[in-house]
Amino acid sequence: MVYVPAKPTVFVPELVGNATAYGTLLANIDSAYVDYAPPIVGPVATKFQVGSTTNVLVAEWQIRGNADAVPMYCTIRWRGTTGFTATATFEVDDGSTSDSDTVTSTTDSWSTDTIVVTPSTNVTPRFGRLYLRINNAAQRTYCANLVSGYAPSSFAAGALPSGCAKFGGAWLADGLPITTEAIERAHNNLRNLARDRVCGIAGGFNRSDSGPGAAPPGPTYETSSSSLTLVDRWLVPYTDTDRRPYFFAFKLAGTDPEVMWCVGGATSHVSGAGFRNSTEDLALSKGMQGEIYLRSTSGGACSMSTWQIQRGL
Amino acid sequence: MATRQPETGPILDQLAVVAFTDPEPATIRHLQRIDRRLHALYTAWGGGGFWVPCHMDNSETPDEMVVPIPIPSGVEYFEVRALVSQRDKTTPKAAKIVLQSGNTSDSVTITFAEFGGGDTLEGAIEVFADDYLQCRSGLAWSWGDDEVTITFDIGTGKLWGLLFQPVHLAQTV
Repeated sequence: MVYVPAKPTVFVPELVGNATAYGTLLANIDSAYVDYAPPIVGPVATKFQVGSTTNVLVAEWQIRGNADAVPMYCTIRWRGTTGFTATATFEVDDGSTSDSDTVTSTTDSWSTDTIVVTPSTNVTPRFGRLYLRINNAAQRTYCANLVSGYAPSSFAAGALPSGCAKFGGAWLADGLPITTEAIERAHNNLRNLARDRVCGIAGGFNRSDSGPGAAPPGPTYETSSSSLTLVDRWLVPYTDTDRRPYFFAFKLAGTDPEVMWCVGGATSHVSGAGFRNSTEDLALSKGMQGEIYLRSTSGGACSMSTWQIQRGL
Repeated sequence: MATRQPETGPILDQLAVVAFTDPEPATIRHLQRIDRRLHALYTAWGGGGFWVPCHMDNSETPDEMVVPIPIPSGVEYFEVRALVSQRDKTTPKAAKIVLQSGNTSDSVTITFAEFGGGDTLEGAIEVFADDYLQCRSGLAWSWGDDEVTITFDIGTGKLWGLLFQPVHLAQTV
């Protein structure tokens, strides 16, 4: 089923329950479950290079929502070294159960590959991870881009963990009234779908270098200063027109790390190693810019491997 | 034939659960509201923009990069803006970055000249592409993808990132 937008004037008084417009509306809501596939993180132009025969974690990000465990994709732009086998692994981990799949490259030609993983549990939140390796430590594999999101393929029958429930042609027989249950389900499916497919709007990864040769150019989300150091800036995509919550996540490491971010006149900070999250109500609009600062409060060495901003709950 | 505008809201993921208490008065307003929210998911609300950090230097080899771009439903064009910086303040030079869609071969150009902030993240400024970038030919109501090639064509400096903002147009329905 393909979404068929209704004409603006189609829903008028005295519409009957078996009318085509009403049936199409319910079918459209079922279609939305399969069609709505925003990115969770990325696209990010990454600077990853790995020369290791064992998996090296080059990117890690948070996956919220997706209680329905729809398939998830990770598309990468990458290459290996001719004559050797490079392997990229996309993992989805809920903390106790991990699902993963791989792609390989045996050439130094850049290619775009998509790895799809279907989570085997409904446990949320999860973490997405990208690992790289190559079967000769003297060689290298490179990854220049990453984007990850949802790849829903079907809408299962019954009430799903997200709260969505398929119509599947129900409530459309001749002579049936339009039921309150159908109206509730239509309203709530849209709401629950939007909540279950959390949408990323910005994010980045620190460069990753493991193996021989010079380090790649690219972002260095690292500092040994106790003063706030500007490590990245971003232009704000305009998504919602009103004030709403946004989810900020930063993965920090090292000695006493602290991140401060500013956007649209708002400022906040998180500190400590590991993923650190913050949810803020903001009214983002066209023309705004965001900034991310990093420091070690004690002046030690610290780094930020991931930053993510999503439309949050 | 009729024309339908994109819908920007409401904020779908923040809506309260709807639970009617029978008897609920029958009103066409319910269907109108559901239809508008559905169209919002397929258009402006569901297809927001995204920021692509690049950290691309003109001296990198190769000086081009291919970025896989998701295309929201109902979208053919993106407005593109960039955060750029340029060195060599004493010798003014123009710089040009070209973006080309793999789907349509359409291209846009981002040009900028020397400015005083220096070739640093702090000194970077926002510049606009000279046109909308067409990344899909024709209307589709599902998410798609494109591969956009970014070439640092002329000049010096750094591309710190790109904002891809989908252009949601009124559609014939």
